[in-house]
Amino acid sequence: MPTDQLIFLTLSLYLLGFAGLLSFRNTFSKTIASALSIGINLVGLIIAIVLLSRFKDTELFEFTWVSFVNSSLAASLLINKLTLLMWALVQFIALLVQLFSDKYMADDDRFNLYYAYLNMFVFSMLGLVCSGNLLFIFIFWELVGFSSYLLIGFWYKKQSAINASLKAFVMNRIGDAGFLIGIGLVYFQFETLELDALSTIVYEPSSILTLTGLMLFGGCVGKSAQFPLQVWLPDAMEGPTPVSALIHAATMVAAGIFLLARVDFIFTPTAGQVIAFTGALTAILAAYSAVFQSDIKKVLAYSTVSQLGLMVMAMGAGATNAALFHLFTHAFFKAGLFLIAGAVIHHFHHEQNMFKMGGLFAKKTLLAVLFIICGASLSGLPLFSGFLSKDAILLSTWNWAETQNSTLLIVPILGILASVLTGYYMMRAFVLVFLKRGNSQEHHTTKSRLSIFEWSILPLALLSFWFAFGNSPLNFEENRFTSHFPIPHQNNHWLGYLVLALAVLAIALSYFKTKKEAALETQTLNFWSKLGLNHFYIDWFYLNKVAKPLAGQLHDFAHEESLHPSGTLHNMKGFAKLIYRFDQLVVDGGINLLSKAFAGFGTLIYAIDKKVVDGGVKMIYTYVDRVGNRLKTIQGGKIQSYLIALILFFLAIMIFLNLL
Amino acid sequence: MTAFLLSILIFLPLLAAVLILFLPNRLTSTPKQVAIGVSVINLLICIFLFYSFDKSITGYQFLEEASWINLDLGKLGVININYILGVDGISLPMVLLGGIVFMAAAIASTSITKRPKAYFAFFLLLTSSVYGCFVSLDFFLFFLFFEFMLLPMYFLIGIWGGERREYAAMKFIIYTLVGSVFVLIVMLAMGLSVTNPELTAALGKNAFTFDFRLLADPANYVTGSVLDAASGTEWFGWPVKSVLFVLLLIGFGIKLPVVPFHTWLPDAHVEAPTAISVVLAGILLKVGGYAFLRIGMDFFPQEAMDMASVIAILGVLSIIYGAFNALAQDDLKKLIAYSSVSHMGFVFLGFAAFNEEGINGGIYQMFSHGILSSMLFLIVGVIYDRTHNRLIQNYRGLASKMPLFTGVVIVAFFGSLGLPGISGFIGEFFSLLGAFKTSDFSKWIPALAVLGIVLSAVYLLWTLQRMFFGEFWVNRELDEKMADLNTKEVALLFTLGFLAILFGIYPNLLLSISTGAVDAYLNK
Repeated sequence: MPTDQLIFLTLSLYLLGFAGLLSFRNTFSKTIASALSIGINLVGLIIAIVLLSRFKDTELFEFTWVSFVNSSLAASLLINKLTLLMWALVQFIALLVQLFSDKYMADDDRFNLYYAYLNMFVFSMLGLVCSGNLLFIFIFWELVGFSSYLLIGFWYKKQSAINASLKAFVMNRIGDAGFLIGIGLVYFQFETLELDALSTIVYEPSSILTLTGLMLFGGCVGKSAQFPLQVWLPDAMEGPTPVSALIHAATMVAAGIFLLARVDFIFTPTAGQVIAFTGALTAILAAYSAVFQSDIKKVLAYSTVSQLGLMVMAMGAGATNAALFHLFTHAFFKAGLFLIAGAVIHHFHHEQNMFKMGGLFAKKTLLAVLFIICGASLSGLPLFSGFLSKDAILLSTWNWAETQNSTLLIVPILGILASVLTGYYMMRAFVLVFLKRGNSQEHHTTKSRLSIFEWSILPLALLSFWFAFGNSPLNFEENRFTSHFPIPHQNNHWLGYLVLALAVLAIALSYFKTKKEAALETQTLNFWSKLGLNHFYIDWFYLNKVAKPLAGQLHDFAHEESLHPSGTLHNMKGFAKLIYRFDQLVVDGGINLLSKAFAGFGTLIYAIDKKVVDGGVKMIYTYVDRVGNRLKTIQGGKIQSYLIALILFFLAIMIFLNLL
Repeated sequence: MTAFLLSILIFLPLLAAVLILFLPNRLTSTPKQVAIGVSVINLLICIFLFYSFDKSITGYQFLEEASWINLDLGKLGVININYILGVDGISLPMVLLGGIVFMAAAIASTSITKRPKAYFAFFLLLTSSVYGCFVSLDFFLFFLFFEFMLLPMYFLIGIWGGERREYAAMKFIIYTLVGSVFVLIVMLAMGLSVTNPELTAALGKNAFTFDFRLLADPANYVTGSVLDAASGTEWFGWPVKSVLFVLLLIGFGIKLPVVPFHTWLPDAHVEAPTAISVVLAGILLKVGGYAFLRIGMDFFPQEAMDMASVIAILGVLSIIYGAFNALAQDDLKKLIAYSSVSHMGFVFLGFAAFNEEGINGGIYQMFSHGILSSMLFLIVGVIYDRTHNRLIQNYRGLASKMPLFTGVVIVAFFGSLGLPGISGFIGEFFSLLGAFKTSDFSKWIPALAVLGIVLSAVYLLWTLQRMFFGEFWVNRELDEKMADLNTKEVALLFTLGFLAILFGIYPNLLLSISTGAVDAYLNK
């Protein structure tokens, strides 16, 4: 079968999976639903492997979608190495997550709906990956956001979950607004949205091009949770944990990086610097916050934000392939970590506070080993894939900064600090969850057999070793990934070893410090830990200084006793309310005033009509009446009177005529 | 057979309305059966027109022409008013939308119990005049229908409306009458300055015409008339054509509605019964947008181009201002009314771009908003029918009791906030794309419009969150009434939802029809 048909086949399978599971959510049993969904995923993955194995050259397919008379917009597919690798990656992780979910979600009565949403997500994500123009990337980009909204708010009765899903969608929308403006600016300048056509243009750096690049980057800021929109990702952890593994660690959040890779030719040097700095800033802020969290998923969430920051930093530095390399290695070990967290949370009966865990090493040894592997890889220790990709990112960024401008060295330095902190918080999490501590309040749980949990995490852990990517455990320059996505030779290899030494130090420090750390509730927090725990109060700022002034005080739900009489507004604060009051008082009020004025004028006219005109008529009428009465007497037969009247009448006429 | 289709669209409901008035009072369900029957026939005609429309012809099709009024003014000339009907790629989408919206509204009207005879008679009159607006090609005829729409609408709001129905109906009629006066001025000024060249030659004296096709061509202006640029006539220090264009901008802007002429809309919507809200938002507002394109921009292209940035700014103002107002609402219906103001802003923005993407996008936005806003108002109707209360904070967690309803609401809300895959996205996207592409105005204008997209996500999803998610809770007095959708509601909402998704995935269905006419306009 030709490539495009296989692509469409895969996409329609997932879409059918979504539609079918949605329509028959009440008829299918849980077994059928998960078997169907996993079966679709398996077929999709096999097709992906077939596509990968027979890949030779970049292929382009265009299908007319909208045709105007003089221009048209196509639905196009761009199938290159990156597309197919992502294509396989998404489905691979989705498969493991679906297997994992089968047990994790087993007790949920909306199990089938959950699988339907997962299919929707995979469909959107795959659509995004294979789209060959900005329009279709945007379309699937939004659909990915939509599926994420559904999945974060899956437990829709939980207030914190629906708050999180709303926040995620709105924050993403803000980024998407930038993306959309970027698309508009691209269309304005080049009159095409096809990536293929855009990539062949020779770009002259100009301010509008810089702006275009930064606006497109806006999309990435939203989806990949970069500063200042990163606040949604930690909250998104309210969704089911397997979802966090799939969407908020490995795939959807990587879409931002993927977008940057797709349009990397458009960024001017200035735009690149802004992007790199944003990434580095995000990386360090999030890494710092991860150190102070007590919720295991929040640690991983901030860690994800931080790692995405590193990728963005590399993107800004022009090291596209290094960033992509990290995207791939990160996808495996982070998905693995999230699934481990899911298994841990499941074990502790939905407890997420790490200070209430501990001593799991003895009971779940394999899980602990898996955690060590994935965690070590995330921390960038040698022999693991994370070491290779982090090394590639930090070296490329360092060398980029050196060649450009020495003040830019702040960017790689922030990146280095962030990756050193990684080791610290991972060790902290390990100690809190898996080791026995003097004051740990561990649950009395039993040792249990291996389950689908461990089996679905195992492949991810194996792919976190160096040998998944290449032969040399210490050099990223000769491996299977970089042979397809070459990363130029880098100098300054001392940097990697320096980072390693610092990371080892941080890990050791973390071990000894965490062993003694008291539970968060009993600690007295100093300024620095409060800052970290609340993620620099960015979220607090948005909620209190932006959302409330704009939308007004969020309503507390009405009490049962008080039925709000229709039409009353019990809250008139906030900018929106202000605008509404303006609309009521000034715009509508003006019209009402005008109509009142008209009505008043009408009343006045009516009064005039009644008093003056009608009054006049009446007056004349009464006069005529009276005169008539008089005249009646005249008519009474007094001839002289007639004569006098006649003479007077004539006189009057004469005088009148003379006057004229 | 196809010769009289457009006339049937207009006169079938008219006849039916008369018929209903003569029905004996005891037949209470006959009026609604007649109304539904007429709507079905009209919808079928619209679908037939849609399929047999020849996309290769950019001019008018299904033309019907008949001489109507010939007023001989002696030496001054002849005033020639004709009965001309026809559709092109710009009006056909609106006619189709009319078919869909009236069908939905007729079904939604079946729950009317108060004086059904009068209600359905007015409803059919409204149907007739709205179709008339979209298919007439004579300014006089158009104006007749344009004015005639007000009468049934006034009574439908004023008799079957909510608590403040008299106020709302009065406000509606005064606002739109003011708009009509502006349009009337333009009609007279144009009708008395443009002649039919062939007839003039044949008669040997000026044959004044109201034919759209002739009005659009400046070659037909009578030398020395107010419209003739050479005459140099100025009103209020402006060239006459500019003044006339501004009059149309306001006249049709009120109908659209565009900020700051929008305040009749929230009141009218809040007071109108559900089905009438559906008609109002679904198709009546589109008369404004359609007529602005057909009359304002087509007859005064140069003036429209000169004022492109004004039109665009009005559009963006509506988008953002409407969105902020929607954000402030506690009443679900008012929220949706303001969101209508916001979404119709994209129509002006797209038109102002003066390129294929923008104008087609504007037309698409009208069509899509027609379907989505019909859905939204039906959704409000679902809640209002059950509880007679529309305040957002009286409901919580409806998803657990009304899962089907919640699914429909998700489609309508996400469609409305521009999720790709649902029709709303196409209209907004192409309007914006056009506005970015043009060099007539600053990029700030479309960039600000994008802010409206963010705001629409905020107010719609916030509402979704407050009303449908969380633990189920409604006010004690309303508790028992929250049942999921009944068959009628399922049929209505699912069909509209299906259409919204169909036109969201396959926009060429409609764009391929409008693009020819738009291109012909742009090349003029």
